[in-house]
Amino acid sequence: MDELLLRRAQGGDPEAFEQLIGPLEQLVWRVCWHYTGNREAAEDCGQEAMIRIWRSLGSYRGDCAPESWVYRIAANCCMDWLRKKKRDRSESIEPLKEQGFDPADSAPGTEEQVVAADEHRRLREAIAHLPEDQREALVMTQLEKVPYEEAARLLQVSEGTVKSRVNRAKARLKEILSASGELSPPGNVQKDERRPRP
Amino acid sequence: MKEADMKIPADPALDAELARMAEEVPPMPADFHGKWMNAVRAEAQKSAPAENTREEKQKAPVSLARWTRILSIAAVFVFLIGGTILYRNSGKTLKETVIRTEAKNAVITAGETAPDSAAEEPRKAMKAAEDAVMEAAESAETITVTEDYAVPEQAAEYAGEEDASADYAAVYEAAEEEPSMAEEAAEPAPMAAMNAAGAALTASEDGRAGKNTAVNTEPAMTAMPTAKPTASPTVPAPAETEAPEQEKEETAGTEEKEGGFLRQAGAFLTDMGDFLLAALPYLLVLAVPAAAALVIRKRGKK
Repeated sequence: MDELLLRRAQGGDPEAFEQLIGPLEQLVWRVCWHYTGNREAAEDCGQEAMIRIWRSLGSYRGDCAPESWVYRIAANCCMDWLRKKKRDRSESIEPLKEQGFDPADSAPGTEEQVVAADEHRRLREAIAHLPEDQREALVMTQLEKVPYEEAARLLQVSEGTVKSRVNRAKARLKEILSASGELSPPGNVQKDERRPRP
Repeated sequence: MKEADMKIPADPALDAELARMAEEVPPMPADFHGKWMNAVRAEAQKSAPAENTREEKQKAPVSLARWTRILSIAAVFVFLIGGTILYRNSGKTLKETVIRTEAKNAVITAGETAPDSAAEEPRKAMKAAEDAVMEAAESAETITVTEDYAVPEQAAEYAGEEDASADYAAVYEAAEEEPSMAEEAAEPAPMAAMNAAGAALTASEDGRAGKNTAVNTEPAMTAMPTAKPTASPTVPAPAETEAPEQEKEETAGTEEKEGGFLRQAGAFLTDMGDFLLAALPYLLVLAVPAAAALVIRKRGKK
C-alpha cells in the first residue's frame, strides 16, 4: 500500500482513498455477493463496507495486508446485514426471493440452466440457514477460497476450529440438501446444533 | 489427531456445487464505484467541519488553561519573592532607624559632655603647670619657700632662674590656650560618633550575613604581610612559590562562595518564612472568601 496515499487518505482526502481502495472494490463486491447471495443486498453491503473502510482508515497501521483488512470489514458488514435480516424476519420460512436468490441475476434460459439455478438457490438457501460461525467459515474457505490459515487469523480462532466449523457446515448442508426440497427453518437448525455430538 | 490436521471429508457433489457457486459471481453494478465514492465524499465533507470545530474547541481551553497556570505560578513567585524582599527591606530600615537613633543619642550625649570635659582641661593644665614649676623650683634648689610660692612666676624670679621663668610663661600660655584646643578636640567628637554609628551599622549588616565578612576578610588579612614589594608597581611580584597557596585560596574562595550562597539562600528562605508568617493573617482574610467562591462555583457547575 502506498504510504503517501495512505497518509493522504487518513488525512481525509477522498481522491487518495479512491486510488488506494478502488482496486479492492471487486473483492468487496465478491465477498458481499457470497455472503448475501442477493444483488441488491450485496450492493447495499458493499456501500456500507466502503463507508466503514473510510471511517476506520485512521486506525489502519499496516500490520496486516490491506486485502485481509478490507475483507474483514466487508465480511462484518455482511454478517451485520444477515443478523438484521434474521431479526426482522419471522421464524417462518420466507419467500425464496427474500432469501437471496434472484432469478433475474442468473437469467436462465435452458432447462439445464434452470436446474442449475434451482440447485444454487437451494444451496444458497441452506447456507443462509447455517449458524453464523459455520456460515462464515464455509463462505470464507469454500467460496472465497481463503486459505485455512488466513481464515483462522481473520476469524481469530485456531486453524483446527475453522476446519471443524467447515466440516460441520458441510454436514449440515448435505443434510438440508438431501431433504426433499423442503428447507429446514432456522430455529430447527439452531436446535440441531445444540445436540451433543456422538 | 489434532484439529489442524483434520481432513475435511470429501463430498464431490457438494464441493463441485460450492466451486460453481464461487465462480458464479455476477458482474459488479456499473454505478457501484460512483455510489460509494459519492458516499465517501459526502462523509468527508461532513466530518471535516466537525473535526475543525472539535479541534478549535479542544485547542482553546487547553491554551487558556495553560496560560492561566503559567500566570498563576508567576503570580505566586512574584508574591513570595517580592514580598520577602520588601519584608527584608522594611526590617532593615527599621533596624537602621533604631541604630541611627541610638547613634544620634550617643552623639548628643557626647556633645553635651564634651564642653564639660573641655572646661576641665584648663584647670588640669594649670595644675600640670604648677606641678612643673614646682618641680623646676625644687630642682634649682635656690628657691625660697614663702607664702608667695603659689605664684609660680614670682617664685621663679625669686629663684633667679630666668629660664625657669620663661618655661613657666610658655607653659602658662599653653595652659591659657587649652580651652580652645580642648574645644577643637571636642569638635570631631560628633563626627567620630557618627562614624562609629556607621561602623556599627555595617557590622550589624555583616552580622546578618553570618560570619561571611569575617571569613572573607581573613584570607585578605593573612595575605597582606606576605605581599612582597616590587621595584615597579606595574611589575607583578614573583609568584613561583605562591602558586599552590593561590590555588588553595581559590579553592577555599570557591567553597566559601558556595557556602556564602547557601547561607544567603538559607537567610532568604528564613526571611520568606518570616514574611509568610507575618502575612498569614492577611492571606487568611483573602483565602476565606476565595475558598467560598470556589465552593459556590463548583456547586453551581454540578
